[in-house]
Amino acid sequence: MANILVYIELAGDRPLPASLEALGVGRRIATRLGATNYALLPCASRPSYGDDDIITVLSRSGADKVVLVTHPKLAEAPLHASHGGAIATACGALPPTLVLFASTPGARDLAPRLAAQLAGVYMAEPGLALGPDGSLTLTRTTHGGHWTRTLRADDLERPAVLTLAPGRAPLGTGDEESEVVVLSPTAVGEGFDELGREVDAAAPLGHARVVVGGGAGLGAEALGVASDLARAFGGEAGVTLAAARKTSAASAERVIDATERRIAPRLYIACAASGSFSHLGAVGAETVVAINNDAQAPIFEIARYGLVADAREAAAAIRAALEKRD
Amino acid sequence: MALLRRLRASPDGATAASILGPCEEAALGTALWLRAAVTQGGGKAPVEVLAVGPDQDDEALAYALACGADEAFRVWSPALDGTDFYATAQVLAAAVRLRGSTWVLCGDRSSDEALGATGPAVAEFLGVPHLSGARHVHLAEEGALLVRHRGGDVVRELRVRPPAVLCVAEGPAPPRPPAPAAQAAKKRRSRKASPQRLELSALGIMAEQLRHRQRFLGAAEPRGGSAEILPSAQALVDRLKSDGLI
Repeated sequence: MANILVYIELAGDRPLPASLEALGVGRRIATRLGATNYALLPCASRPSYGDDDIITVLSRSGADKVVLVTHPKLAEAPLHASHGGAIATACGALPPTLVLFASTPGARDLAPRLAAQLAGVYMAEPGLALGPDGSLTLTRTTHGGHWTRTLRADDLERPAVLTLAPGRAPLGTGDEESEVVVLSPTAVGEGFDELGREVDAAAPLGHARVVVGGGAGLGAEALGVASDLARAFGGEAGVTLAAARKTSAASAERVIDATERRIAPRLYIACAASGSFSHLGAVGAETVVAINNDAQAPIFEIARYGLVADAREAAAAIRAALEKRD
Repeated sequence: MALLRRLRASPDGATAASILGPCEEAALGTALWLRAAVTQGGGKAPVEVLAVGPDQDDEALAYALACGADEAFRVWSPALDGTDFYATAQVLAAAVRLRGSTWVLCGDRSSDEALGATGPAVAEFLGVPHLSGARHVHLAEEGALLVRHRGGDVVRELRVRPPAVLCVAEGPAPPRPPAPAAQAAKKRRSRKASPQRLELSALGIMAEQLRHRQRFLGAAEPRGGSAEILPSAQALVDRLKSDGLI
């Protein structure tokens, strides 16, 4: 029977919601293929049991079995340097056909290296489609969203390692109690010495379901206009690199760009952003809305919906329409 | 050693607007900045740049040389055409090993394929640690580097000891290349001002080892179409609602 491993990342002592979504994806694929869906949980020590303990949460979210790999070093933030050995241990004990990660900075460090270890295939944040015959098709965009690459999993003779954008998939369901498999890591990396840390004030951008981006066309108002509209959606606001260069220090922390911060919301609304490669390459949104008064702006080529309008006026009109809806 | 690649043309042949992507620029800029810092401390840290790719990658290497890199190397074989990150990393790692580099810097993610897999895979083949999403790399004591890394809800400062692969997301821009006349004069003075070729055979790699990787990139197609232009803000809100997005 094929094995699907879903890496579970923790925030404190709770699984990240995005990891539970990935577990749900694994559940649906496992059901269709007749595979076993494993929740892979590297952690510092065995979790405690209780009414709503982590094993129960993973079981209810679709895990057939929960694999615990425990070592004190695994209390660190997940990176290959500290967690790679734990994942390799699980893959050695339960050779996978598919390994799923929620797309987080830690996963982007761990997943491609695991793919190389397994001599496997790696896809970052693909769209997944399960055909009626059980076939799995993976699609991702390239070249700033202007091209797509498609792989049929049936064509693969090797394990596939995927990172999945958060907020795209419903949670899975499962029994109350999964079997627990406990493994000791065969090797644990030293990790890196942490010399300091500070709060990342703009971190919510990375897991928001709706993000509004202000472009250079809004000048110094880019973050303000984007923030007002984002609040109306219950989302987060950012700016393009070009906009940040025209505005404040607060904007600099919220730059959405390949060199700064990548986002993967369900909905991205670009206000007065032309659509540079570097900006669009950082946006892995399910749906992009472009608002720009230049109908020829490249962003309209990759957006699903567009408004050819002044972005300030359009943002105000959208806010009014949302208030009317409420 | 900095690993570079020229931004690829789209599958329809449309040339990329710049030679390097922003992350590759940051990797090159970081390598040159570190060399300057080491030199200032009385040490030596020559910057070599390496590409695995067809002739067009010479453009990226020539750019790096013009920015101040010391030597440039390119590996290519028709067997590499269409291969995925795994084969590319296999060749890059063999070349890094041949050159004996301690630190390897590469772009965190290209802005064309946007995969972010090559650096971690190179580290796997070299058997050394790697760090993706590396920012603001600085010199530390005893030959280590200080690197900022954003993860979870915090930004951490990490000390990374050599040897290691750093996948650079943010760093200083490389110095602007001098004017073409000055570049030509520099080229006349040094044979190292042009990229040098490395053959697969010199790296101990057989072409047959690479060919089977070609199917794993996936078929490329233009995304097609363009935005559906809606007549009003109200129409947009209605559409987002009917799509279940809000």
